[in-house]
Amino acid sequence: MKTILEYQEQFKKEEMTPLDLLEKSLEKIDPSLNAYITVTEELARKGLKKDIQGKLKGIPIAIKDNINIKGIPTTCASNVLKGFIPPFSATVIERIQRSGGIFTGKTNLDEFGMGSSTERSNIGPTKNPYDLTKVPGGSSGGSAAAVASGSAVISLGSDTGGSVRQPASYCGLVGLKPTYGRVSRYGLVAFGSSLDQIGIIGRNAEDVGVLLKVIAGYDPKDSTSSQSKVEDYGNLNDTPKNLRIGIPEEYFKQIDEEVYTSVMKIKKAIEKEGILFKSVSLPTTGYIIPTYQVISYAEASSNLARYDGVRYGLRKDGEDFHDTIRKSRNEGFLSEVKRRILIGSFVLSSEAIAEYYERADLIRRLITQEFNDVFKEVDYLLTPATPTPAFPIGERTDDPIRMHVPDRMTAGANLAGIPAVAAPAGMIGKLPIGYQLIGKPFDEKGLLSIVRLVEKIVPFQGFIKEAQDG
Amino acid sequence: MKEVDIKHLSKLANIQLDKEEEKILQKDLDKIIIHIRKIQEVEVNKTPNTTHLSIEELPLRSDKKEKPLSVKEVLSNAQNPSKNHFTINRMINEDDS
Amino acid sequence: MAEYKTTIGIEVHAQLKTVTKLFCGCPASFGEEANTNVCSICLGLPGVLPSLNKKAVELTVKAGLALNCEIHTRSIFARKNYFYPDLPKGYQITQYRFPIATGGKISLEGREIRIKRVHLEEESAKSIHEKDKSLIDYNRSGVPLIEIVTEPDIDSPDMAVAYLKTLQKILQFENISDAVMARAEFRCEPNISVSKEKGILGTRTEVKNLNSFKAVKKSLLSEIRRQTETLEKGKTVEQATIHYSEETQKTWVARIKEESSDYRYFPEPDLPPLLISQTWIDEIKTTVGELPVQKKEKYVELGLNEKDAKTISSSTTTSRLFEK
Repeated sequence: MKTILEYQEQFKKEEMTPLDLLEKSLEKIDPSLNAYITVTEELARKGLKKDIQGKLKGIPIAIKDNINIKGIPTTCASNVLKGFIPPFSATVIERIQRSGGIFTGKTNLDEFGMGSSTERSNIGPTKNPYDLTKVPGGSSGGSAAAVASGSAVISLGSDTGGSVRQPASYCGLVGLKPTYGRVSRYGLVAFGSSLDQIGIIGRNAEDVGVLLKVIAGYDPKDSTSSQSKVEDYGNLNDTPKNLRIGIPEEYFKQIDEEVYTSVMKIKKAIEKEGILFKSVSLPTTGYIIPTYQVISYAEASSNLARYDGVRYGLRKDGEDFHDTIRKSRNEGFLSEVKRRILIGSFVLSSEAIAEYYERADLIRRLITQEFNDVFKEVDYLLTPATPTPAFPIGERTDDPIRMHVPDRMTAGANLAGIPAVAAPAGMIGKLPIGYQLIGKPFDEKGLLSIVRLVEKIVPFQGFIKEAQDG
Repeated sequence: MKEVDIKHLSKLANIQLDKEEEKILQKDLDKIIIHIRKIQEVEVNKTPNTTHLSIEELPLRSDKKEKPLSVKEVLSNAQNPSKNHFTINRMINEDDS
Repeated sequence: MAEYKTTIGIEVHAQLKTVTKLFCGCPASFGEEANTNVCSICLGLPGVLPSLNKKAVELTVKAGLALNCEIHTRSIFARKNYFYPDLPKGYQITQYRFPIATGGKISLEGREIRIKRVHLEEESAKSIHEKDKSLIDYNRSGVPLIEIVTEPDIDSPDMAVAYLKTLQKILQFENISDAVMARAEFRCEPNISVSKEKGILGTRTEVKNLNSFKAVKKSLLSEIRRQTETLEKGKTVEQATIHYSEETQKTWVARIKEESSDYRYFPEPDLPPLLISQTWIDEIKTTVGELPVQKKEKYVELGLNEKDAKTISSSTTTSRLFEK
């Protein structure tokens, strides 16, 4: 199993061609995993023929099916987008193409990004390559499964409350959610506009950094994108000196014993490198999930209002135009999306807005302030990425509340707009488990450097053998 | 206290629910609201003063023409387009101009 | 018949004279073939984001200044959520609590009409109705509009028309909008109430779909009559949307507002706060001229009689000399 840079070396030395790598990757697509909604073999071959020289030349990349590629269906795993083919590509897609990257396909997700298991999809659940009875995590489960099983070298996902980091944890991968505004959202189908970021799921920190450097940076089409300087995220050999890492006590409650042990193993390993650990407290942690729910559902209810069948997508004819739209939406959305739209409408409604949406917004600022304050004492936070490893398919589908439990670890970073990365801590039986690092705004390089350091000291042994060759 | 009136919300959300699903969702919503209500516990009087997360300023675009989509592209995903327009059941009794 | 006092406030939407739309680079021109000035953004396709037109902001600031408003150095865009086939995103991007300009005034025949606010928002698409279906053209979707709202300081249909004519002239003179009513570039929505009791306002109704100044005057006269008659009969006036028919020259209740729509306004997350520097405001201020009729009003305020004021204000040379 090679890194992006190693593949590039191989291409240069003509030990392997990009076409070889593409074909090997496509061969590894296992339909029973159900990771892909659309395989884009033709597009990928065409892309290779263009022979574009760049940092991602010939690298097969899987793309979550809520990110637009021009001319390829975008479904968001929803019947409401039946037949929809976007006439434009997301900015990140254009940047990858200009760097020579190619796409293996559009991967499965929870409908519109709403879920933590990739079960709530109109094409059914994706399976965890480590154990076909378990979920791969969500909502970017298809992307994680594709990389973990070797059909893509790296992938793009999206993270609104943890949807890149949690699948990374369940699938033994590195999953980065950048700082809000670091990566353009133009072309990402919106779920929670003030929380969404396109994220990267890959096999190691360097690969993630190489891809991040290509896609990051200001985009005039995204008014929330940042002018902040893009760093050389793929160059991770210098670990920042005199690091202080905080252990927030609230994140270590109600987690599996083995998860605790795995994360502590990581702590012990890097402590030897002279990194200082400190106990810290983030009292607003207990309010992260309800705050996240109110804000994300409110934004979702508004962002999904455009799906009415008038200009594209599913249309169910009714008696009059109101009826047609209402029927189309009822038929098109699965139940989790309906739940969120209804609650989102509720928290914004005139009777409830002050007590719910406006209040949640205030709490969000408190949560953000709390992170700001803690980052005066420490440079990073180390937490579990998820409270448990991957859970069984079907275990939580009927429980909308339990579905949010993993978000407790991850949604804080979305609320505060700060970067966070999940990386493999080890194995618990047959299943991987991840640790998470949270950092200051625009410190993706620091986060990835620490992950790189951990990789050197305690390399992850759990990569799937069959995924590795080639 | 039935705060969450699903009939009212389904109108706001413009989704026509079947009776069965309406019952199930009402129950789900009541459960979820109980959890969300946790935010009422927090003391919010001393919160910092920002409406937006992004610290960036709103960038302004210069007033220069860009090529629109072709009509074919615009209508490419439409159901039953007619005379280069999108169509829908007759819209009646509204204040359009 | 007892003395009824009329109270009128007016909301005007005017299309701004920009080359492109408010949030995308599509041409904002009029009268093209259907769906030829449309892109992914103004069609509201999944994944698009708005990109704010600088000229539209400039013209809004200019309008605010021409109307003697306070221009806010920080203002916020908001989403107004409702469903309609001519609204591609299912919400309109507009301004709610923090508009660009507030607190202005216009002098009219010695009276002052206060301008409550001036803000920037996007236009919806255009629909044509056939027998069994409606056809939608998104050329107009996303065109920039300013919304100008007065306080309820107008007390007669004639004054309402005078206000509208003056406002239209200002917008045209300042090159903010062509403001042609027939092209729907200048839409007026007066709201009106009558009341017998001093200091207490009656229930107001909103008149829509007015296509000419004549229609404004006639519809308001008709509405005053209708409301007065209702009250004289001992009944209550209901809050409603009123339409006016050119043929019958009468107003009628189109829709009772039992339940005002819940627009669920919240700040637009895709657009950070709009910051307008004092330097920029000052620059724009230098481009704001003054209509002769406004100069005349000013001179009358300073003590000149109507005739002299009118003469002096009618030429730029004399007015410049006078103002020295």
